[in-house]
Amino acid sequence: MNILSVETSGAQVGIAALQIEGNTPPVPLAVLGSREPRQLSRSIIGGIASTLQRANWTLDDVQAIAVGIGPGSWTSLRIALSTCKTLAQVRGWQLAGVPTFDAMAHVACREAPGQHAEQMDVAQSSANGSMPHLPEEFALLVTGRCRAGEVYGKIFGCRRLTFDAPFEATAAQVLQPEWADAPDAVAELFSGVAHERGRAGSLVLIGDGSDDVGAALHRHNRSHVMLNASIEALAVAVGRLGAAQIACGLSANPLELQPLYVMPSAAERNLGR
Amino acid sequence: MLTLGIETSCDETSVALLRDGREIVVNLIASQVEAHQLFGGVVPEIASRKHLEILNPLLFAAERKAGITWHDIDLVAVTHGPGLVGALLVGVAAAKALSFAHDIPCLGVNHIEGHILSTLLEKPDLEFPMLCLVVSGGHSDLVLMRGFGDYTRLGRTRDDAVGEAFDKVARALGLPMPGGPMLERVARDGDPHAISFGVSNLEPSFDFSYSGLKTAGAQAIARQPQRVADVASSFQGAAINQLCGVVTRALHEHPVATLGLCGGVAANGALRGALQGVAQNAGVDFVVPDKILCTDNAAMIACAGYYRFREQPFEYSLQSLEFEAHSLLPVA
Ligand SMILES: [Zn+2]
Repeated sequence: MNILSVETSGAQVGIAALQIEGNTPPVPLAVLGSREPRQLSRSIIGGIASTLQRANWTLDDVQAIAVGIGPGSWTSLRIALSTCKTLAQVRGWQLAGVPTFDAMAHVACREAPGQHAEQMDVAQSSANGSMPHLPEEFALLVTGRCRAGEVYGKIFGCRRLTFDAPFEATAAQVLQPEWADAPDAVAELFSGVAHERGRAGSLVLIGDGSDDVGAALHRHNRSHVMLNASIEALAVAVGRLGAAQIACGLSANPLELQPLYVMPSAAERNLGR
Repeated sequence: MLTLGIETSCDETSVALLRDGREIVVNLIASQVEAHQLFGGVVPEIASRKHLEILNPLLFAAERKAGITWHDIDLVAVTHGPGLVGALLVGVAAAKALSFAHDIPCLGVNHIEGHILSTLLEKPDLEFPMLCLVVSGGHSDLVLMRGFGDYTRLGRTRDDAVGEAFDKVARALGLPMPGGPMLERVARDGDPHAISFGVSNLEPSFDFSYSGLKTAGAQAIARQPQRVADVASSFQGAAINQLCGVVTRALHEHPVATLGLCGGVAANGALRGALQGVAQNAGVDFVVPDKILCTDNAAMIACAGYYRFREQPFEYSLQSLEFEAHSLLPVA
């Protein structure tokens, strides 16, 4: 399957063109990472066009498109979803909406690849700067930036996979779906869930809110490991999970797919007060 | 030539197909008025979410209803301002995607220009120059149009838009949304001379002011809560008098062939009647679109896109898909 993937929920934008056959690792033909999310409305079509060009594809070569549905910046998500849903609708492509934190968890589960795929590197760093060694099984908190003073979080129970291991949806099992709260509260729930699952000794953080939650864990003397996923790796993971969804017959309907907002608008929150 | 129009600047999602700039093939409008009702006004985040929910189903319905395929479209026109940026971005992204997907030229249209050119949907052979009064919940502009793309704004509101004043007074009167049409309905049973409201006069400019009248209307109902119909009728009369006064002076100073009226408030029957009288007295043609074309709609955006493309066809490339959404975008 030739699949395009688009991920825009965080501070960076990633677009990838992947060739995925069955359960084998995807072949990223082109991966584009950009640090200019504010330019997204201006640049998204150009980004898709140049990714196609670098992959040596025309629009006719594409069969599917996967889009990260957040949580994250609501405006960026809407630009990406409006673009991808319309492309799927008017080109007849299959569409997949991939929860961004699931893609992030799959990046975290997989060991860093060898030098042959430098675009997919998962830069791993612990607080003191050395390369962390992830245990066989660990509790993972994926975080993203929310409004001031809050982060989005999602908790997974993870099994470490080698880079070349076949795709396994069960490698990252959801222990707590997406929610938003202050970093301290997120840290507390994370430690609690990890403790319940007997993984209190192996806490791993990944995502844009890691610094804030990590500081809270630190204050409570809970040791943890922080990972960084590159935007390129994340875009590839969105494509890989999207292809898996489509292969399972779970493609999204372009007339229905919506972002994972997690929270209502401020006006609706204030109405409840 | 088949033009697809997309409009998402405020609280109406709309998709239209227009043939040769004049024949409306479909003009689908989904109003969000209920979603905002609880909040007493349009909530930008809710508007953006609703546009994303409804736009793709509307595109689907338009394609089906018109019995066309995407390849049949020659031009995509989308509102890119003025309006709520988050809401505009949903329509702009979809328009660019459709344009890219089938290599169709795409251009961003000014929403006010769309309203002005809605008069051409009513009367394709109208004569220029045209003095056009654009009145809605977001805009009150008096624009002199000498020809396609040639606009001079003669006047504007200095504070509230006239439609905003209608909505606020309707709220004070305890009327449900949409406030303007409800106020007009109630006003029919009232006496327009029952309460005397001062009319702002900003001579020699052609500007308007509605904040004083809005406050006076709200105060009048607070003093006499049982006289809803009289307050509504007197307020509406004063609001229309101000518009007619400014338009009459402008017609005197700027000889034109046509007087146009457009925008959401142009659906108000009393205003349509009053301005028709003003045009008659001045000896000029009067054009006001059908009521459905007064509200925000994509047919007027397709129309404005069509004329812009026809007058200024330029090289379309990926580069031209880099236009952005703007909350403020002057037409002149
Ligand atoms: Zn309007």
